[in-house]
Amino acid sequence: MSARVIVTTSGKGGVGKTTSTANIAAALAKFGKKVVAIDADVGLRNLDVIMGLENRVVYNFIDVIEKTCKMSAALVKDKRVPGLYLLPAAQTRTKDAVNPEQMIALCEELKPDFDFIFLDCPAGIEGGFKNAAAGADEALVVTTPEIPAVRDADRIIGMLESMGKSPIRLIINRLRPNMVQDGDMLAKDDILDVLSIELIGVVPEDESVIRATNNGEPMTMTLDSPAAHAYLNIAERLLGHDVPLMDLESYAGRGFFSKIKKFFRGKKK
Amino acid sequence: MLRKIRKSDAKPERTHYGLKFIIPENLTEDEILKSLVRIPAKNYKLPDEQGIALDFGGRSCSKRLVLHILNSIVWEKDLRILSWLSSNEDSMKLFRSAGLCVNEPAENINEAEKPEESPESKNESEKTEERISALKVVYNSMRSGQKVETEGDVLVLGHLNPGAEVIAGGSIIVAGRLLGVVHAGGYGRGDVFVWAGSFETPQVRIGNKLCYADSKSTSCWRKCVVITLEDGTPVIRENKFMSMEKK
Repeated sequence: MSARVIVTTSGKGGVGKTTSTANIAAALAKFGKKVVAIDADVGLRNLDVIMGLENRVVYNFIDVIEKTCKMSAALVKDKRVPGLYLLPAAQTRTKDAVNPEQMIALCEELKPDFDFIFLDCPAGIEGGFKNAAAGADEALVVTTPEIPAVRDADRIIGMLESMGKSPIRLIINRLRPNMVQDGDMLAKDDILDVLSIELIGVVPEDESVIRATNNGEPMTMTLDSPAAHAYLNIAERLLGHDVPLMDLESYAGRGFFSKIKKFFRGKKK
Repeated sequence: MLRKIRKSDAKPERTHYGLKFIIPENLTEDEILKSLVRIPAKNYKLPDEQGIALDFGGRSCSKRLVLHILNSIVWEKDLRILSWLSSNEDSMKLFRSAGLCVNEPAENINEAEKPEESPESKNESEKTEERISALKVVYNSMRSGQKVETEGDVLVLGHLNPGAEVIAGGSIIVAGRLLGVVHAGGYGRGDVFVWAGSFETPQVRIGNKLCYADSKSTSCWRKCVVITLEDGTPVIRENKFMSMEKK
């Protein structure tokens, strides 16, 4: 077994890197893959909270690098899904505590035991990004349909290309189809026109993301929301399956069936 | 949209100043070194006044790579490197800090090595050749944060994305969408132009003039345009020939 190492990055903060990492990792584990999600955001760790594993964190990957503990001691196994692991970041250290060579060595140590390694990258283009990206072969770039996020994604894609990462795939997060239709939000094709990379998935804006984040349960574990389905589809596409993009119009209430529902609701009144 | 990247060796290109090695951005640093070492020795045998330019594109070069190229290739094979070219800011800083020349070789060639000739003796075709030789071609879209600065003209064979920047002493052609910042005539020249396949940028700098635009203020928005300076005023015109082609 030699793992595929994938960095999840965006440039801009708050676009959903950590949520995407947690959900895609959980989805792949549900498909029977052995997956480890590494929180590469040293000093501002959140992946443990989103995965609902913060109470079980004892060591972190800086401890592994500094040989304070063994890798097996730092890995946190998710008991809800077989094959899903978290390697947390240190909250009390800074991004200078690690360098790219150490991240590469860390990934090499994990590769034989896993199918997928996800590196949850911090926002920005400085040392934290460079450390996280150094260990990865592939990249998932997350953006929201907003001009600043797309511009930052473009910057990050340029940097990833110059670092030789391939393939670099795009996730468009928090899309609101009704706003796109009204011309108030960038459409999928507008974003792809600028970024010119392969689209791996579009995740609609969904309130259940906030609930799942606060409850510490990745949505792909329960699959009761549009965003959960979108992340599950992304995981399938990562496995090489040909999955069509979701019909987001129906979620926006603009699809054919939604229009029929609205029509009858109107009649009742 | 899929962008397939094929790994390949550094490609030597004949130029008026000798050779230019375009180093693919998708190669790892070790692959670059191997690729440069593999190039046959006969390619390095150039006349005295000629040399080599290394073009690293948008790659962020490390100190280790520069040191290895100097140690294992430049000094080992006794090469004359005229210039270290890059569109990556970090790489340019590294080259500058190491005292390496980062300008286009057209300006690098030692004046003493050039055949002496008075300005009058130059005919028009020679002048044209000199202008063309100073052309910097960017073979793909420029992404946010990428910057090209040259004293000659610039041709971008792709989009100029928001946050990307081109500063040229001469004219600028962006074959795709112009969304980033362009400054033609960046060193004061007024006889220059900006040509864009689709004009979508809020700001254009030409000569010593700065002008703003948006979809409401100009009918040329999202159209193929040419921008020139006329009597010191920036003038934007739709390139109707290209617009007709699009239809």
